[in-house]
Amino acid sequence: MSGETTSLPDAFGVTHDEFESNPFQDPNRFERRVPPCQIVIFGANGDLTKRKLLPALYRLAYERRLPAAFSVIGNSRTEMSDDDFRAKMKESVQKFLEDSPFEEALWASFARNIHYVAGDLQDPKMYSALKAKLDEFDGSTHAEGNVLFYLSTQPSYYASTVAQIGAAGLQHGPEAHPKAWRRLVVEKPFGHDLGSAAELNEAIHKVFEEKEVYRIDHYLGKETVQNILAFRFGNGIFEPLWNRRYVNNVQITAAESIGVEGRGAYYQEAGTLRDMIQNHLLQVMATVAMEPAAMFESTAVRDERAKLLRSIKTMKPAEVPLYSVAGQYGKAKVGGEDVPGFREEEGVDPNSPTDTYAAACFYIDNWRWAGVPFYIRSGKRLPKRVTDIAIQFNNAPLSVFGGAQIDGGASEGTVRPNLLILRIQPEEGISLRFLSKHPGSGMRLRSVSMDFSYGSSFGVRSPSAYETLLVDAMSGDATLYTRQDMVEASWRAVQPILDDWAGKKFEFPNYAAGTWGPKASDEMLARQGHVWRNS
Amino acid sequence: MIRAENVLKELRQLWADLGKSETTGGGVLRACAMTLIVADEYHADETRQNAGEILGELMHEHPSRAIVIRQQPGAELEARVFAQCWMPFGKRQQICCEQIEITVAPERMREVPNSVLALMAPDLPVVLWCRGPQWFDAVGYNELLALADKAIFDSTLLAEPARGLARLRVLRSTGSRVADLAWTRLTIWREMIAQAWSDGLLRDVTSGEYHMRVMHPGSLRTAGACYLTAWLEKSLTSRPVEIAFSDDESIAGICSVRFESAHEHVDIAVNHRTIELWSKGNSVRLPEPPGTEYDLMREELGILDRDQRFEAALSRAADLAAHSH
Repeated sequence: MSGETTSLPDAFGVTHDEFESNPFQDPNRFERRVPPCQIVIFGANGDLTKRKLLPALYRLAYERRLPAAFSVIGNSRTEMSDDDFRAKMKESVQKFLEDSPFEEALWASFARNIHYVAGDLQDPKMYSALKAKLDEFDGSTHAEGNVLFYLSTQPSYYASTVAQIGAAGLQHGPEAHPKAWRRLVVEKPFGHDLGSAAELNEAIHKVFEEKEVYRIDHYLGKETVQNILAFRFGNGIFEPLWNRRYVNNVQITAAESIGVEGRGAYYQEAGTLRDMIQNHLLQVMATVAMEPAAMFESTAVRDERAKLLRSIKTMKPAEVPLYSVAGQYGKAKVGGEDVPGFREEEGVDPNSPTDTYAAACFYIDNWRWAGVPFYIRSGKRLPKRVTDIAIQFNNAPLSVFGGAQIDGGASEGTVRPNLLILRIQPEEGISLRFLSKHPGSGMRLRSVSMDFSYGSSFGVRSPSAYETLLVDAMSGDATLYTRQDMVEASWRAVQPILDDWAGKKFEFPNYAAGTWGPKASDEMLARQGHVWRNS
Repeated sequence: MIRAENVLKELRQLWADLGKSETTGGGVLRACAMTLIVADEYHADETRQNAGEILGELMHEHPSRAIVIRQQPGAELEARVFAQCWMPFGKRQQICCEQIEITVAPERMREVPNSVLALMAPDLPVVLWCRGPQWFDAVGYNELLALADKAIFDSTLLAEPARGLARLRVLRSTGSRVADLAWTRLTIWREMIAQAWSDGLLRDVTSGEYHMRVMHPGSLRTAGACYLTAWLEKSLTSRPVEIAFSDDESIAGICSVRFESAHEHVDIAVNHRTIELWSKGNSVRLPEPPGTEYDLMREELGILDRDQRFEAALSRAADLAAHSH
């Protein structure tokens, strides 16, 4: 499927575009082909390249998903030879490669196509050197002039780097390859508020067209997040229940048990609301709540996601304290170990007002979801690492088991609502909680869980989010990338909270490491008659 | 004698024992996404890979309850259960699939399908893999076929491909979802042709009048050559494709495909364990896949819906095979 095209699938499941252009296509059996291309990584000496990008590319090479004419060109300020860079990357791949063996022979052939250009992002000479490197590889391997620029630098350099790419004319392919594409992948954070996101979009659009811009949100590349769409729109039984009539509330949790792990300096500038909720979790919420797209195709899917994000009700200033909670962890003993508070972490201002926990309640102004609260929470130093979505259904309209004992209910006779849980990590799967009769005499009810685990149905390893997203970007499929209007809509949703928090002095820390966050968060739900589920 | 209740009880006991004996601390995960019935044949041929070994590999990607039926002269009708377990790379949790092996003397085959019916994993797709030519005529074969959502054969195992293709066509016409590993072996060829089309390598040669030729080894048309010819015809709006034989009998299936116009030609041919495409003096080469039963089954089990490309080619391929003589 190509990036922005719209086409209907034929009886063979092949879109008309593909069918007309290639009568031999067989999507049932043929792997999607990645065209010859080069990837330029700006910020190649950074953590993301080492932990995610290179391991993902190596794994793609391991699975023979990369084209024969393929190269990676890294850039950072540090002076290094190609060999030095390769050695560094080898070390990283060995360290961060997950669920896969490292093969020396494969690395040797993969590394031959890794190159390095040292230089400052503001220095036009660096771009000339980069152009020479691109042309050299292109001339020797028939790479067809295709280049994917990957911005993995500090966000403050995004706009100027794009401007320099434009000044060097690198956004256009060589004349010898009129069909060559040039694409730009932008890592989060995409701006630090609505205004800066719009400014950045404007700066990027001076050089690249929107269809050439791939804003990455790695949550959308996770298999389990993609599975939400399969679950909702591939099955007939859930979608009829997927609305305000049957759903009582939705809770999205992304909890981490670790602290800032050496990223204190970055984190205190961002905070949880910006780092997690504005991007990842609002995208997840959009995936859970969006309308079905007419077809699984980039523009159609992204249109529906964007529509949903635009439908999020904007909080009025007076509503912000009622529907949002900020938190910051303090020191505690967790599992017998002393854990520092956020303000004691390395690189963090001892008076930092940064939120390491954020919770918010959003409403969606459309017919399907009007009045249904979507609670989103995320935080560091919570009891465990878990990301899941819980859809809590309304209680049965009438309890015929009025006098029955219900195990696990808040009190005798309390009905426990049905709960559908979509687990994103670490134990990917889906479970449905419902009531069942406890064996024995009398009518004692008990909550039981019906479980689907990815591992029990699919023995194979799932590709990492970065593997999926890199292949998509190289193949021109933007379905799992965010678009300008989506980014701006999600900033618009959190902007009132950011504005309110910016003017407030919080009594931080307000939760102890190893707990489920500040009390105020529980109170926010209690005001609406709900409780956070224990993820 | 097979009592399904007893076999299922043994399976439950097997899981309980696996759980108790597990020592890594990561637990045991029961994996099952389908029932895979393997109609195996007794073979004195030592070179043929044991079905159990293939299933052990297949389970990683297509976890299933495998029911292996082995016809063996003089064998008692009996079933035994065991588990196929593996530990995914970097994980501590064992994943296990269950396997039921039924041995039966050919004359008692009629008793097997009912037992299989009771032993299938409920509510999951059922795939029948007929691993030998004798199954076409075996007692109880039709009953087994009726249990399956998809049946996989290998027409190359038959001395006369025409017979196999004709049988598959009949099965298909009665509504059965069938697959032929002879077709699966063509994926590399078909993919290479599709890729050549995408890359524009066939653009010049197919822009005017042109013809295509599929070469197969030996004088008898191979199933692969018939399928590929039929697929080319269907894909390019019924342009005639010549099917011819080559003297080179060292190659199985297909020797080469040629697209030829008055001025140029593009060749795709087997060359030293690779499939090589030649166009205007340049060549692209792909390693010829090993084409083991495991590789082929792995691909086929990934397609449980109708394979319309195959079905479209089957009928014409059966005609081509029938005119082989």
